[in-house]
Amino acid sequence: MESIIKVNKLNKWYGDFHALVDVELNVSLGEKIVICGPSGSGKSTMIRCLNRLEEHQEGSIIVDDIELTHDIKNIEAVRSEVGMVFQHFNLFPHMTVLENCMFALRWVRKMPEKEAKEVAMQFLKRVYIDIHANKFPGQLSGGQQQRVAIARALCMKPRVMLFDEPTSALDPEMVSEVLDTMVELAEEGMTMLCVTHEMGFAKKIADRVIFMDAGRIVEEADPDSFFANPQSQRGKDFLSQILQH
Amino acid sequence: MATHKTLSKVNLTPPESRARPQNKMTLLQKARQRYFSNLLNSFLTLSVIIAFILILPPLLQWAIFDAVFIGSTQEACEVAAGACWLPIAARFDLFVYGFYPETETWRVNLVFAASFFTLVVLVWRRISMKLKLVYIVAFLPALIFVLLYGGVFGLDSVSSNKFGGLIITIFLGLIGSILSLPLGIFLALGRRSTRPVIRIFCVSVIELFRAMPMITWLFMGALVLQLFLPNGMEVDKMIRVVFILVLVSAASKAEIIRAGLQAIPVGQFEASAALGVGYWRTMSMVIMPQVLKVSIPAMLNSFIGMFKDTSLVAIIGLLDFLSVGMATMNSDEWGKYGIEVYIFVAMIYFVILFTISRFSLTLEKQLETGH
Ligand SMILES: Nc1ncnc2c1ncn2[C@@H]1O[C@H](COP(=O)(O)OP(=O)(O)OP(=O)(O)O)[C@@H](O)[C@H]1O
Ligand SMILES: [Mg+2]
Repeated sequence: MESIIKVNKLNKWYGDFHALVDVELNVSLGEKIVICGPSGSGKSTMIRCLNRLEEHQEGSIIVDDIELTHDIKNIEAVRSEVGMVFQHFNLFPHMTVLENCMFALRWVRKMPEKEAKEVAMQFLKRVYIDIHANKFPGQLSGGQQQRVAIARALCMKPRVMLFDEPTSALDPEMVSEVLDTMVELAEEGMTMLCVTHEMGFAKKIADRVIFMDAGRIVEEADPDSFFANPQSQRGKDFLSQILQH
Repeated sequence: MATHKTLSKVNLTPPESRARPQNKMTLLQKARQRYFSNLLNSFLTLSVIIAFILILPPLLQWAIFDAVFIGSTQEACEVAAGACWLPIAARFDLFVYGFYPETETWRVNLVFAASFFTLVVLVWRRISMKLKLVYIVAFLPALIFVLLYGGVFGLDSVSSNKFGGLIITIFLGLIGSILSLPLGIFLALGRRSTRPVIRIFCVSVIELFRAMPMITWLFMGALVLQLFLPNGMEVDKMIRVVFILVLVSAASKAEIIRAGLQAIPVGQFEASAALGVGYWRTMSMVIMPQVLKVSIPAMLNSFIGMFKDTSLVAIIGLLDFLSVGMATMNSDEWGKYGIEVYIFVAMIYFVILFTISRFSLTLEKQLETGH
């Protein structure tokens, strides 16, 4: 299998706080990975290192054969191949839904306006938001906004999609519409790394579950065996906690 | 058990919603409720009314009924009991146009019209923010420079030492504020730069110009700056003053923009970066539009301050609107009518700035409701 992300001995500090410790990760093309772990375990930090929203101090990260260094050209090249969906959507409030999706197509991909509009509409249709294309993000529900955010990332035709708790800021009745979109995406073969505690989703699509604690990858397993029978004590504690809810 | 029973309750016919009850009041009732609702309120209302009754008639008597409007020399005023408005009439052209050549004053009028039209553009909903910015930051200053200075497009060239009165006040106020906007943005961004050299430079400029009185800077601009320029090179005094005003006003705008930048959630920067969009594109298309939107009221406020501060240029010998008034008072002919001149000058400032402040309120309301 072609490898798309290679993380080697990654270490990251915030000040003196060691946030990621010797993290190793290999992601093959088409693989779907779910990352879970207690709050503060470094899940966001790790996933944000992959497109350099966070800078690492040691180790190497290679995405799509490009190593992430201080070189801004490399960083921008990686970012345009890696889509990211945030917990709080982060749509641009002063642009319409359509403009949000066209933005990077126009200025990163340098696409002519007409073509960018077609591509954007195509992806908005895919997340069933095309009828709201000319509304502003503030006029949509949380679930709709998150689907726009997914469409905005997909427009760039990324090779990998990163999700950082995409459903945890949503009202409960909107979680499934976003998860359904993500399942569809997974079924189409997208490479995905997803921080989430949605077990049903993980069981359905994940090839691998990564369990993190205190900045380390503690356990890696296929979802069925991890959720049924975690090997580490921390994994057991964590699962018993989220199962209480 | 008993409590359980009382707790479970299903309302199969939930109450219908209905229109809010109207309470109709006559105008008189409304007035009573607003101005005479209690003893203190009634007292305040009556005091204000009495004060008006005491002040207004004599004021009108002096300013209008007993005043002299017609005539051309001070003799016409000698016998009058009221105000003498002749100095204003006699020197009206000086007040408005300074020493601008009489045949070219239409150019000045056009500048005034374009300036007023700017306010209309600002609150015109159908015009996009981008177009508004282009009009204000690029088109308007270019138009003002071309019209006032001339020398291009077949317009006669007019030296800036012919400028005076309202021309100077509006020219300096507008150009100073407008050109300071881009500079203020760069200073604000530079202040947040990760490169120490840029950051220190921007912080120094901002703090230096904020922490010293404008008058000292005007002196330096007018007198000291010349010493540093190569021999024989003379920069137009008006331009030197604009330069100083731009820097002073950019320093305060930079602080306004910095506050606006801090109000933008970090997620906006991250979302744009994550799409592979570079720093300048992110700033100009994602961040600044949001920042400018929230800072417009504060900007207009700083503009009003700036507009009034232009009267300080009198100190370095420029004849601005207020200075024309002072000169009039100091003249032999009209020396006795200083109060009238002051009132006139104050009224004009008030009319201009009050208009701007009303427009800015409208704009503020639009931005609150719009997107
Ligand atoms: N910008 C920062 N500065 C300092 N410390 C930080 C910063 N961001 C994160 N941390 C710390 O790094 C650790 C890992 O944070 P991270 O956000 O990656 O956790 P997480 O696993 O995503 O948690 P959560 O489930 O709450 O999102 C935490 O202890 C956090 O306090
Ligand atoms: Mg997190």
